[in-house]
Amino acid sequence: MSEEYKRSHVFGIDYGTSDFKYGPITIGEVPEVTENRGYFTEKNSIMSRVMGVSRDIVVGKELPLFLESREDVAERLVYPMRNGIVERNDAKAWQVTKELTRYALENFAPSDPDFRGFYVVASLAVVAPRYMYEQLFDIFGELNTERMLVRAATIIPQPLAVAIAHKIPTCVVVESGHGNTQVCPISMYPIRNAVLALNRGGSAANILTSEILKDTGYGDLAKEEKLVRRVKEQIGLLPRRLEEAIDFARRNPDKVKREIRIEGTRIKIDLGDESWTRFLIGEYVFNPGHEIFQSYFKRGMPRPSDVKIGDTYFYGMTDMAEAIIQAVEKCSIELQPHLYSKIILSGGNFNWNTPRGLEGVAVTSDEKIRIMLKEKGIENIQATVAREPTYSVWRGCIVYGYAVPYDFKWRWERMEGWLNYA
Amino acid sequence: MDKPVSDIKLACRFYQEPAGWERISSNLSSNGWIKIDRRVVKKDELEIEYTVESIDRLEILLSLKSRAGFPNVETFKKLLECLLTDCWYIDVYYCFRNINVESVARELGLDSNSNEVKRLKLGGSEILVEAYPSVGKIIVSQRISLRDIGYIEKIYSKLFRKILTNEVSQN
Repeated sequence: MSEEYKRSHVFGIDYGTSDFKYGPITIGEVPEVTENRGYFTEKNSIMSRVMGVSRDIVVGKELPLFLESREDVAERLVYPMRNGIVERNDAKAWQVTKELTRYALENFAPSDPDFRGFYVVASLAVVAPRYMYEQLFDIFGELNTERMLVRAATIIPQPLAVAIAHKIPTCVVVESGHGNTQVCPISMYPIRNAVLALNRGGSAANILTSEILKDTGYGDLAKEEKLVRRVKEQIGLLPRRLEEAIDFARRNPDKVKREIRIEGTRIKIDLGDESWTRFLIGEYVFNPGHEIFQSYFKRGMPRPSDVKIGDTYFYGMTDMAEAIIQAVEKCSIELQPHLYSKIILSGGNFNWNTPRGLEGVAVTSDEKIRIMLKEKGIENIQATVAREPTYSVWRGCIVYGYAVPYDFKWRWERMEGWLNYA
Repeated sequence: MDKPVSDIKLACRFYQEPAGWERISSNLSSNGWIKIDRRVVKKDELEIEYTVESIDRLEILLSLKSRAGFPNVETFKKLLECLLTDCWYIDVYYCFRNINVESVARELGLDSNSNEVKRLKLGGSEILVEAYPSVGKIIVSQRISLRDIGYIEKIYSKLFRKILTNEVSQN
């Protein structure tokens, strides 16, 4: 097998807690995305037999077609990851992970006699324990029993994938997805004992959006998670400074008002006089400890809590700048200024825009981080949002797979190289 | 269905001597491409992003985007000619999305229910067509050296134009 074959058969998989992104090198810059979940069918029921449902688990885009009653869904719909971690003994979760991996590879495995399997680059949370690497490597091997899908595989931490995609060897990567946020200083390799994890991501902002919808008379819509996410993406704003933004919104209500329509339905959403709350959505992602959110917590909105999963603590309320400072301050003093001068923000949770007319009031994530760090006394900050931040981990997987020579063997002590299945 | 789009990757192979993005970008700059940042250059509706180079620095991977969905053939030809002053050959991967994959696959004689691969001779050049119906994508790849430049227009009119205008899908 040659280097040339490897380069055209690199396959990236980003195991996100909520979204699973995958695809080969040849598909351009945008991977396929499906939800990281699986549905266990009741294969023995008479209806399943009549309808010809022969699979134990359904994953991917077809999954909604198999959902049954709410009680069944609660029992049979399995989300395998929590904060990027699959529990070691959670057999169902590992079954779903295996099925999703098979689904991804089979979507793109060509029926061509020249096809000898993909060179798979998988990416896991930086806090993923070693057993997850071992189990995933086992899964890749097991998938080869019917046909060769995986010729070789490697696994890299998500923040490292982001740094690789940007070709920046010394930096801090803040990777914020749907469920959690990882702050990871990197100096060639991730500095593992400086990693800080937050128990919040895009889903926390969805919860707040749902509360805002309830308060503005859209309580019926607030229960639909997918709709809430779309509303958040369309109306959410990230304020430069929250107090100033609220003041601006109250003085210029027309500039902040926005009516949105939900495509394919008759639903229109307009926050009216409460349009200033659009700024709360972005602020909550960066600083849930702001006193303005106390009223929501008092009314029962769950506060992002500190949790321990495996050996890792995930902090709930630490603000984004404080998390970066805590992580950087665990590194050598000589390195610290270099880390602050290259902060990469990656993941869908950093996708905030400045609409026309709101310049100076609403900002992008890099600007917000700069302001927050400056207020805490940090100078010479250079923060950038990854290009298409939602896909930067997957893109890093592709870049890594292309660059690492095909004959560079996996070494557990360095956690790099290809584990060969041929 | 949204407008058909093709994402293009260019795997540029240098001659025996290692080179890199600096060489390519300075060549492009002298041909009117404007540097946007250290990894991106732009000209008219086209944007090239440097993705990665191999460790031996004998190959570089670029990503080409067009605001129009697919590059103008003349501009694309000029770009390849420019790159081929530094490169021995270029493997071009076109990934088409927002198209009716089943119709395209049928039209090209591919099975519309499986990930079939077919080698076709078009306008004197061999191309590889891969259909992925479950994800709605068609990937076409070809190796281009200086002597193949003349085939670009033929392949465009015989295949790409049809895919992009949905002529194939409407048949």
